[in-house]
Amino acid sequence: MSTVGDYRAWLALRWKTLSRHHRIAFIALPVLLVLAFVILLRVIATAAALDQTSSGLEQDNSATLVPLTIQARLAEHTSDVMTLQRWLLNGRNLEDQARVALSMLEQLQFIAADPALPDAWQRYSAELLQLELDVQDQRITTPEAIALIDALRGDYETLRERADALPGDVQQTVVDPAPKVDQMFAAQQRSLSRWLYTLLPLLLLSMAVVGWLFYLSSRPQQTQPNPRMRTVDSRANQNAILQLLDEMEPLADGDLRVKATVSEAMTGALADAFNHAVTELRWLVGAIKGSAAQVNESVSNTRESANNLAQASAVQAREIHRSSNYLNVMSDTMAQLSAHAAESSRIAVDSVKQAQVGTLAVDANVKGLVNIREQAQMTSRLMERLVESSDAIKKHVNEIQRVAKNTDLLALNTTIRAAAASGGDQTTELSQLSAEVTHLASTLGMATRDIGNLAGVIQQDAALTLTSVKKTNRELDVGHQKAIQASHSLKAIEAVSDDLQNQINDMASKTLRQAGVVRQLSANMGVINGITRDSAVGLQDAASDLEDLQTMANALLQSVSGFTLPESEVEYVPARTKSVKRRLAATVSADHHSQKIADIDVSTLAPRVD
Amino acid sequence: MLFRAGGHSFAVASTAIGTIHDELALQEVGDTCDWFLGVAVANGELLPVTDFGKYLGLACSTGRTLGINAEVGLGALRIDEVIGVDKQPNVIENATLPGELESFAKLFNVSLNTDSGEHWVLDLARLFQSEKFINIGDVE
Repeated sequence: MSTVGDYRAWLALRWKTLSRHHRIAFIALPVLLVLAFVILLRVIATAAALDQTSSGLEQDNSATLVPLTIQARLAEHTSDVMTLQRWLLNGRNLEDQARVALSMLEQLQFIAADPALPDAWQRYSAELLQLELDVQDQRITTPEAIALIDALRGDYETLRERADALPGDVQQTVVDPAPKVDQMFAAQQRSLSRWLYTLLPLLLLSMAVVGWLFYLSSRPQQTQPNPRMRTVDSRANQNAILQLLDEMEPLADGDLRVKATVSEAMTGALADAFNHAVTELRWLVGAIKGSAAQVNESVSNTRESANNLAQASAVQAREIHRSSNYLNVMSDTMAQLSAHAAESSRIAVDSVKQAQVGTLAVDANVKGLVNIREQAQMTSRLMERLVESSDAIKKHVNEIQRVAKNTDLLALNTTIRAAAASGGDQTTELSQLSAEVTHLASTLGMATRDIGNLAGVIQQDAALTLTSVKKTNRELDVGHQKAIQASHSLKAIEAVSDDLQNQINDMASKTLRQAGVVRQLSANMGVINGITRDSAVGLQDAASDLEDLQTMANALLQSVSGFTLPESEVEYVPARTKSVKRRLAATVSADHHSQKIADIDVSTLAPRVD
Repeated sequence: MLFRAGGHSFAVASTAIGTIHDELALQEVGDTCDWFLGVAVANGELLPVTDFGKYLGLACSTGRTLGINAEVGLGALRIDEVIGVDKQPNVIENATLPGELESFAKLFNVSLNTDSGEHWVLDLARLFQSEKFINIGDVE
């Protein structure tokens, strides 16, 4: 207490030694410095936060996330409505329901073009309600269609709730978020500029006033006023300063509701200046609070959408990777098919060659059979002649046998006659001659009998041979016909094998080309997968940046929470700034993805027909 | 002359044979023995023809016909085969007549051995004079 008392005594002593001008100057100068320092800190902090916000928003494409989310959900919704329309048509329901679904599709197109259109939402809701009434009236009986209509109602409520939950300006941001954010930054910049333009002259004026007071205090007194009057003025000024200090004291605690009394006293101008500065500061703090709250809300929504999109991109990347694997398997399978087809083609070529060789062999056999048949026919004719000759020989032999028999008989009778003539003498010449003749006739008879037997055997053998040759001829005719049929069959096999080879070659060529197309498709899927992964990473980074931005907005809000504002403070109105720069950044990002997409060979995506 | 009839070989003197006929136009005679074939005209003469094989009780003869010399007898014998004439046959002493011919033992006294085998010599005169040969009527 003694220290405080000493300090107060020392301060009172020093205060009494100061002139009136010095006293005013010493009171006003710290207040001005403190006020300027506080405002400057706020300005610097606001400028830094806005700069970081600007850079963060420039780096990511978060401004497009909200419309992308709604567009993606609407695309899925549109697909469901198309499925519903197809089911209604295929489910043999009335065509009116299909037309209602078609009208829903048109409304979804309007909503997709501008999600903030309330008229389109209402018309879509009316169409959906019509379908639900049809379900109640049992004009729609297909279970799948009924389930899908329920699902569409749920999705529609979700989408509509999300769209309605957005403020009007955010809805406008959904349509084109860049201008909205630009307006926010422009408002921040304009308010900052306005405040600086207001604060700077005020500071200069305060500095001038302080300087003028110091000048007055240092100037020698040329005229000495009435001491009594001077005492009255000094006391009035002192009271005015004390009143000003009392009125401005809550400002040190951040209470911006303070208002200095503007009077005829010497502090009237200062009070007016203070009031103006406090008003600007109050507006600035209010603007910061409003902007931070809106940024916080927008960032929260945008971050949620970015997270959803990141998850969707991850799922998409996984499905694309799986599809790429399937395409690789398909490419390998088609390559194996091509190899098998090539092997089959080679086998078909061998078959054609074998068929040609077989055809030549069969033709040679046909010629050989023709020759054999001609030889057999010749043999048959020779055998017929042999039979005829044998028959003739037999006839001649019979004749010879008859002659021999007669000769033998004649010789015997001659011998008998000779014996009778010679009186039994067997040695006469006649007897010997007749004996010789008898012997010759006997020999001739035996020879002709043998010849006849041989001729009979020959004739029998010739007849058997002729029968066999005729049978052989018939078999040769049958074999010849069969050989000709075999030749024709082999030529047909050759033609079929030739066609088969051409077909297999064509199939192998086409399969090989299709394998190449599938490989190119797999490569394109890889490029798309890379783009999707990059998008997912970018979305995750954007979500992280948005989280940082939300943290900064909270910090900004926390930093100005110490200020107390009146209840009816003016709402923050965002301004439009830096839109050109941000749009340029968005254009560069879009060009980056467009270049990646351009790397895809689009011609390979279309089915080739040869 | 050597010949075969009824499965046996026989021989007769060449001088006893008039003519050997190959084929004769036989005229059958009724109510006669079965071995009597009939009569035939040969060289302007009517000859009674006898199946010699069947006359001996053997197989029928189907060959030539031996016209007997008229000095020996009138007739002809149907035989199976004329073998020939053997100029110098050898006589077999004490030859045994086959059992089938024992009832005609009087007709066969001598057996000859030739190149073609053993032949029993037929006594034509005794044959033509035998009662059985002369009696051609059917005894039954």
